[in-house]
Amino acid sequence: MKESPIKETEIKIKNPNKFDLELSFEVALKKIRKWKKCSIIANFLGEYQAESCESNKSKTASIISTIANELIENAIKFTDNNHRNIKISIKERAKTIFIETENITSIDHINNLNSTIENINTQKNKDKLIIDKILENNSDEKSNSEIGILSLVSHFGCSIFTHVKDEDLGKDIKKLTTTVSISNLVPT
Amino acid sequence: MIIKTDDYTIECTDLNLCKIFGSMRLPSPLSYNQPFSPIKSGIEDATDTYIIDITELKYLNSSGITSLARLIIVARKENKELRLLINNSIPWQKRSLSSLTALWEKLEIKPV
Repeated sequence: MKESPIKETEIKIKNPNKFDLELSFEVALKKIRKWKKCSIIANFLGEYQAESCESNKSKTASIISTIANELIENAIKFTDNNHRNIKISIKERAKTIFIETENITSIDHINNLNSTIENINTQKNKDKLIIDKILENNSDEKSNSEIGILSLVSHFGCSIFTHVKDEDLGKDIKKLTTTVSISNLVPT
Repeated sequence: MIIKTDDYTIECTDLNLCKIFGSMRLPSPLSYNQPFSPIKSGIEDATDTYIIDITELKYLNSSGITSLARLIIVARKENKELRLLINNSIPWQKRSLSSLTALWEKLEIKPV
């Protein structure tokens, strides 16, 4: 059977190798099995980024930590069991911050994520989408409620993009890069 | 009742009042059931407006916000007034919570 194409919501960055600030590292999932480490990494990224701000350091650290934590938690929840490394990076260019995770995940998850992104990008009343999701999941314990992703766009003004690398990794899995970009981090 | 961990503390020692301190980033909404159970009972047994004070809650992840929303739904089912005391200097509180008022008309979100 022919594989259906994966839709992407790819970001286009001019001169992608020229960032004002870049920090990137890879962690083995077995090393971050203790859930609290997601938060430790997110807080570290927040503190690291905030150090380059002249003001609002604590708010910047808090916002970056919140955004990074949702991305990292999402990557960990949906990483394929046989490919358990996650690459995490934070970059800044022209006052826009990009937080990225790269992991190997199922095509189903990629399609669900892209569908969520498309849905929130086209929805005018984004808060209603979140409330509908909360009510829809009220008695449901599924871990992919997507409220985190929706909240990043609706409440933090983030843009979210995905990119899928066309590598032969096995049946039904692909390498996914999820990028969250945010400008005007702490409005004055 | 007081629940105390390395990361967070939940104090439900007064009738109609609960305070949450620290940082809560648990893996799923299900994992909030236990720490939030005294709050749920407090709402069900409330004799007046039930107050949840999160002014010293530094972080709550989306699973936690989902669970907080479920407490609001409990208040709605029980027809209990609910007040959420928030801290506007904590960015996620200022940005993420106002939409929850759509869940229950007797929910007041009050910055302190």
